[in-house]
Amino acid sequence: MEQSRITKKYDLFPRTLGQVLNRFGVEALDLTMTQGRWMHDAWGWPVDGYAAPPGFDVRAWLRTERRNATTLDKDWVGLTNALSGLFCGSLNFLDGTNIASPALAYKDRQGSSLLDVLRHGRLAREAVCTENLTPWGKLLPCSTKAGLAAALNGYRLFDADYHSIQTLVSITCASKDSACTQQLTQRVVAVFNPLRQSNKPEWSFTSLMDRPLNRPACALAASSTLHVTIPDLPAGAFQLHPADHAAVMINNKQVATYVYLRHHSLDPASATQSLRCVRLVFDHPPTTDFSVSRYLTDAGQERGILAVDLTNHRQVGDRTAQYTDVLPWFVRAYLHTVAYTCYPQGHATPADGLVEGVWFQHGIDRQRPTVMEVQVTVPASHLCTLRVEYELANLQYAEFRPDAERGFEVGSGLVTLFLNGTRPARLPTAIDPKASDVVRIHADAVQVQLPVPDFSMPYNVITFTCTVLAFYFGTMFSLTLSRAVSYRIDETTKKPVVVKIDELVWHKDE
Amino acid sequence: MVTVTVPFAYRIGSDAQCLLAGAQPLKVAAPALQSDLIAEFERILPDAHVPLVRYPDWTLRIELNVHAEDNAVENVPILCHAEGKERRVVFGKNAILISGSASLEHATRLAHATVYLAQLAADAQESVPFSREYEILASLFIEDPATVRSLGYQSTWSVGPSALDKYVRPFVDALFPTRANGSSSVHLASQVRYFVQPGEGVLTETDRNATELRLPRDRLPHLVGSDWPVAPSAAAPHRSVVHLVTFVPATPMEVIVPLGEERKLAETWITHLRDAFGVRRVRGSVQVDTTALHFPDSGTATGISSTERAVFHLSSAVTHTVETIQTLQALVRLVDQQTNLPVSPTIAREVQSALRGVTSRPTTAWSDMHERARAARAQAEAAFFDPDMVGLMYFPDEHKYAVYMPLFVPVLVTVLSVVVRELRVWQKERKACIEPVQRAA
Repeated sequence: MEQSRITKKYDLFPRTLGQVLNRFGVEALDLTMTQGRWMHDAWGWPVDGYAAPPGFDVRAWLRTERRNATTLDKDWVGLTNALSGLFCGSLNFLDGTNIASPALAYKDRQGSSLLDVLRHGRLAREAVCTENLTPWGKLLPCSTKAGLAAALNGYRLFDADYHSIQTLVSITCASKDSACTQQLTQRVVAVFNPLRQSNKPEWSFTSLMDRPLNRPACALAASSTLHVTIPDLPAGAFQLHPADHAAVMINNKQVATYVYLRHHSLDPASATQSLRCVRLVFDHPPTTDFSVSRYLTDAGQERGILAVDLTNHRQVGDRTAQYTDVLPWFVRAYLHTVAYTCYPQGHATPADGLVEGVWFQHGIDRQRPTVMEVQVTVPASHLCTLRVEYELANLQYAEFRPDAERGFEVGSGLVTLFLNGTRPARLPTAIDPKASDVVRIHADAVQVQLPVPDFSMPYNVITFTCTVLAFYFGTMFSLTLSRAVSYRIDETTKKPVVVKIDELVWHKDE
Repeated sequence: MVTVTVPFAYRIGSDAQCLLAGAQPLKVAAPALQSDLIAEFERILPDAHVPLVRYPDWTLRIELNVHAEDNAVENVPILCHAEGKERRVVFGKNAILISGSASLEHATRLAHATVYLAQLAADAQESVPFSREYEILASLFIEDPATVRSLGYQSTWSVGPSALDKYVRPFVDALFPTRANGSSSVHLASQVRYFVQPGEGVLTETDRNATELRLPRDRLPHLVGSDWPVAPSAAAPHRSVVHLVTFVPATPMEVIVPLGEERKLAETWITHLRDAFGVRRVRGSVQVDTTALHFPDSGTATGISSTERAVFHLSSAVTHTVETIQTLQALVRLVDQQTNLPVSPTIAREVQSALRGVTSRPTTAWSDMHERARAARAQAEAAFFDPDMVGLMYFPDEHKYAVYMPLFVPVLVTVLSVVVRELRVWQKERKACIEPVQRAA
């Protein structure tokens, strides 16, 4: 797909990533490396678009012009291998058996008007570590030698309750058929708990990161700013140092802004170095008015039920939700068993819920996963459950992972909420004030236990067969070939003397 | 002694090439000139063989042809005639002017020129290792962006990419012509990276505080550090990269070429690229026997004259042909030696098309020959280094012992001991058999 005659220039955009996108015809790419689950009940809503599912998640929008399905498959393999080389992760395991092209989800992310196809793959089991953070940092213009990224300490970052390293490439076209620009956004989302370091509800930048902010800001950055959301407490309950800061209102919340200076040497006691906040009381996080819980029920290793609970806590106002799930091929879900029941909160009598549409792609063994997308309405103050029954397949003994008893992760489901103008209550600060009309909630990842064969069987077979052969065969063989011999006791020497057969015969005749 | 046949085809031209040079087309018949030329060539170079310099077992065999003026054969040097008493041959843009009066003198001049070109073709220059595709990456590495800003340079680099487009792209197109589907086998890219430090051992302690830097020559190889962003593209790891690096250190260094001068930058690059790809310098005048050969100075926009281009294509084509045959021979030896090596049909197809590429009748256009030889060599190397062939190599004997021995050794031991016992008994009975007969009697 690349045009080899055009000189490609890369200055701020990293060449390593740009060449990969160019070669495989990728218009937009979302790559997130996350560990942990965003706890909505404890932390409220995440900032718009900052939540990511646990593990590695890759979403690529590939151009389809001049490429048929086979070429797209080959290019997808090349893309995942190139990305796994770039980010040091095992993305090359995302082959045809675990990627999906959902029809309904992520429609708002497809920015350009060109035809392209979405391929989405997820590795729920991957762990994120410094090996992934370092190449991500190398993509930045100033890498991790200057700027805010210099403060990222791997020890503290990977110790956080939730951390996500995100690389997002999006495309904007000024108008149809005009030149399009690709933008690269690199993000680290982390949730730190200062109570784990000290028992006081106060934090400072140095105590969180264990590293002072003493490098200058990146000289190539147009702006480097630090935003601190001012907590919703009365003025005496907290102190924010340094006190002289600009305050802006973003999304109805007050935010303190600090400008990170380029030449810190001009100002040795730079204000940002001593950034800290002292709090005397706890404040409660804003609650979310929609919650999702995903779990498995029914016992046994042969079949089960995957259930998703959608709760609308609002008193008034229905919500439209789209549930997208990608189940691996060995979890065979049956479309006719999809059931959607709604219970008014606090009551036990069910009522039938409203299902607006179902899009189902059945999985083919060892070829493609099951993709299920259901669009439902959750009425106000109702708890609605979406259930689907599944059956587990028997895997061949070589298809199990090294720790077979652990089971397999069935990646998290995705609930897309359409706000239709009604924003959820008290969404926290969004740095980018342009908010979108959808909220994505990533449900919990579940684990299925597949029936595990006895891996010692080959050894058992060899041992058993060899033992049987050695004892039984040897014994029987020697028995069949041994001779019966007659003997008589000699009168004089009292010892047995072997009698020859012809002697016996001679005696008889005599 | 293996030979590579190379066609040298000349055409007596009457088109604009001769008129522009101020000369006239040769007034002699093509077949006559051809037989004269072949005779002269054999006189100078007996049995018309030129040994290759890098491959002593190989020789170059020259096939000479002279075509008539209405024979539309492409890309051959055109023969024109210039009046004058000087005995010389002048190479121009696709035209060769021969001066001399008698027809035999034309043949002698041309034979001398052919011998010289053939010897140039037999002696190929060292160049970057062969690859199916190349990438030329012009990088600007800045040690400290703060100093660059203060010197007035912008953070984006526009000179590099435009120099690549205007000067390097035509040069590369002359060396590796564009393929039929419009793609080129050389990709051009440029990048700017910041906070790139010189490698370990380049700067000593005294240098760090100095206001200006002087680097002795022996420390220069260490300039490229281990963490420099010069890795090949993750998307195309088979592509060989030729790096043109411009490094701006934090301590101001005397800059030899001002960064803002596009043309000077491009000239430096083209000089390095000529060395990198093995373009031999063919300029000025050379005396061969009684003939003076004049080659043009390359003042063209592409940085390479047409003679240099022709010689490059010819010598490259010869080298690639030799290497292809050697690779295929090595493949045949390998397959003969290792009998359990699986050779898939794709490898067979690649070997066949590589063979066809080098053994087919060579065309007269040297750039075509070069392209075909490159493609054949790429196919031969792809067949030889195919990863599938290495697959079954490792099938250790220990596995076979571990599976079959526990099954068969107990059985064999039992059977063997019984056989031995039966043999002894049989022998004893044979001896004992004599007695009962005696007793019966």
